[in-house]
Amino acid sequence: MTVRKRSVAKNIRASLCIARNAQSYRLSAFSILIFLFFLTTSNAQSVEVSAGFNRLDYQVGAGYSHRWGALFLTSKMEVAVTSTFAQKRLAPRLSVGASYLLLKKGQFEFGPELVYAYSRQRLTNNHKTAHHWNELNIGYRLQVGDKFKFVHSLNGGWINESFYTNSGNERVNYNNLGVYAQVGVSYTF
Amino acid sequence: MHKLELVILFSLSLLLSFSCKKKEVFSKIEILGHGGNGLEIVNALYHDNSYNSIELALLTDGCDGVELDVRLSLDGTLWLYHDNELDDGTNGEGCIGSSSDAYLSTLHYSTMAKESLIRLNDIPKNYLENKKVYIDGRSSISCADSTADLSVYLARVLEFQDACAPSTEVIVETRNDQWEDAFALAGFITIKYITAFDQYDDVALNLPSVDIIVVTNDVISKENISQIHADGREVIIFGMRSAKSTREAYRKGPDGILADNLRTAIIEKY
Repeated sequence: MTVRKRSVAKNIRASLCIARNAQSYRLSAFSILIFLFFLTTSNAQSVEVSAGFNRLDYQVGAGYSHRWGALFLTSKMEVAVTSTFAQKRLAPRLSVGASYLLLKKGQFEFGPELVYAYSRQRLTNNHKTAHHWNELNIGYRLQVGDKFKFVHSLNGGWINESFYTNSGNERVNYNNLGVYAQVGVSYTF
Repeated sequence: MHKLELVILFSLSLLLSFSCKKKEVFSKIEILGHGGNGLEIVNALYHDNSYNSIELALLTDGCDGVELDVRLSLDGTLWLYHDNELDDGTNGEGCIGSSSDAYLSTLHYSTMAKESLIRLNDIPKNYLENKKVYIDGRSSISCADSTADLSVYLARVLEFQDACAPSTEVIVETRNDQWEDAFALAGFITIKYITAFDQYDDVALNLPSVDIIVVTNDVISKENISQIHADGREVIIFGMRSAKSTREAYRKGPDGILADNLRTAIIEKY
């Protein structure tokens, strides 16, 4: 009886595992398809370097964008300037954003933008109590130029700070109004 | 390998070399959040002396305590507020000392987050365990051109101390000599604020009960701090906001700092 039960449980676990694996394969395949779609269907790709600030620090970084007509998708990696360079404590910021550049006049383009960003900063030597910030901002993006473009965006919205307390037993969250402004230069392939 | 990949690799290695481990050790210096999570910081998430600002500071790893600006209301309750007059930073009018608790309960700071004014007793006592509470005893009531009742103020601070865990250390900065004597007699560690080091001789001569000297970073040197230490007193310095000024302050060897930029101060220490 016990052996049979074990065997049934094993079968259930195995089928669950297969289901999970299948789900994960489907997710991976879907992600690859999306990536390939972006890669093959975009009109243009560009790289960008920028400098800006949010409520945490000044930020500098580089990004990569795909474009379909007026739709513009950007992923970017930045670092907090004061923390990383003046204090030698790496504080990265990763962001993904979408802009719809609906106004176009000559080399001038303008449109709304939605950006999600995640930042992390370790204050003490304890990695567990590092602070994490999630930002969701909405605003505008402006770019001027041909192959080389001047880029500017200004966003406002929500910022969440979350971290384990100094005792390390509890995660706390603080929500507030966020802001992000940047200027940069991009090069279109 | 493509040129672009090489550039990315080079940038990453440059970044890592910049962010490599430092550094000087300032482990004995205590970090107290000025007004909670910092005072007059442009990008601060919360107003000083507000609940969220104090809670955020006390829960942050590396923060040893908070400095709070404490004033007595007309009803004899201790409220947290930095400025003399309410219309300087809130939607109210008058002073804390000339306002009732009912009126103060309706006020909020003139910020986007509109944080409420809070009482000293609103801070959860469990957050204060193993922490230092620096009470900046604000005695003046500028609207009425008078001073808060010392006996009531002292009684309320004693009640607050009794309500805290034994591991919470309450220290008090006083604004006049009479208050200094009264708090010292009541057994508190007392703090005296000086605006220039030449005022220290007067403190050393006339106020022997003072335990800690608080002074801005720009008017005190490492040698001055050594001299105060030689007299058996501690030194707390404030007025630093940038990483550079915080580092310079640490190098002078104070016993504590009032941090206006708490994250910067903690990173600089650890």
